[in-house]
Amino acid sequence: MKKIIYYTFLWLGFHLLLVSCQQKIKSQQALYQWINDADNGLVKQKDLDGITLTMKYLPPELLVSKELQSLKAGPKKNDLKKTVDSLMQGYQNSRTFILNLSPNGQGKKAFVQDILYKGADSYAAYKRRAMEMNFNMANYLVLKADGKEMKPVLANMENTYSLTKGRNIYLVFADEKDQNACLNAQKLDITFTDKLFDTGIHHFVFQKENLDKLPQVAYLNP
Amino acid sequence: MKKHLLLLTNLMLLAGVIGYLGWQAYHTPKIAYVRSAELVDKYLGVKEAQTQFQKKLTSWKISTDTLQQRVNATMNLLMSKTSQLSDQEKKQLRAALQRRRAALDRYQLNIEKQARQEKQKLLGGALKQINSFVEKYAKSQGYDVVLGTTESGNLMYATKALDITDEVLRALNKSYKQ
Repeated sequence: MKKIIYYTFLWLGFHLLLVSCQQKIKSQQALYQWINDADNGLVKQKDLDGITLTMKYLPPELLVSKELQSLKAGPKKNDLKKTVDSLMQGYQNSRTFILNLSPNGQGKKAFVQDILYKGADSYAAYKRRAMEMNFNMANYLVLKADGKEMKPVLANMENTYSLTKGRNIYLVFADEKDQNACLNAQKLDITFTDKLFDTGIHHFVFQKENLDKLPQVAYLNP
Repeated sequence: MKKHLLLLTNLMLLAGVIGYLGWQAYHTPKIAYVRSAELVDKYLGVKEAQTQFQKKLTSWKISTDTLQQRVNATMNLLMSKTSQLSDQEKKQLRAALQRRRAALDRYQLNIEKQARQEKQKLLGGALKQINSFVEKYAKSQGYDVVLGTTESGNLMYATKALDITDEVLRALNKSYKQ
């Protein structure tokens, strides 16, 4: 009898240890850190011709977290779960990415101005690029989810008011006919055909296991 | 005493020779070469750019064919029914033919210009990717010089051991699909 109690406690202790060791994200800052850690496979980067192209996956938890932050008066503690669930429902059926285009290089190669000016030799060229990046980015991007191709349902360039040299483009992919095509695909290959800065075709490949392995975001689940 | 002096001199000489050889080995520039044409031909980025360009050409060709068909149809009508048409109708058809020919010429000129630009954008971008990758690869592998051979023969001779085309191509294609 004593042995049974001893083993039961041992088993319980072992599970408690396992549960306590599971990684939990306790703040928005920690969430950002986790996403930006290249080892977690949510960020893909390419550098060439003085430009850095970064594609980052934005998990629904981050989008919810940002939206909660933007609410002037946050929900009461009792309502938090309800609000989080409701917001999560809105983001769970799609995949959101952010494409950042920034100038890079050092010394003479460094490009100090806004990326929109890079290589633009006339006002007309600058204007054409600005128009394309503002309104037609969806034409340059395609997502291949296990071979099935889809265009972004939303491709929106963030206005930075010239405070940064780079530009962010928010991309949302969702298959309107088959929601699961985008969510269940094992491999997501985002192809960016860069005819804006003429750097060629770029592939950013993400694995589903990486996209879905985000640890529990504790501050959203009180 | 003399014996010791001789030994010391010899040792110093030997140390000098070893030091010089070591210095030379350290300072000899690490050189390699790649077969440029093969690198470009077999790079996945170039292949994909060519496929995209061909698709675009095909879609343009369909539009050109439609315009050409319109011109042909008007010309056939004019030729086959010359005897049955009034002067006024012939005049109208000739004017229509001229308009359609002009439209076709304009479209073709425009397409040629667009095709050149498209090719430049797609293939030029892929070449930039190759150049940028070779630079990074050379730095990471410690090469001081990487030469690119061309068919016009800018490199007269180099031993096969200096040829890094295959390894660069493997790494380049791997990085392309990541």
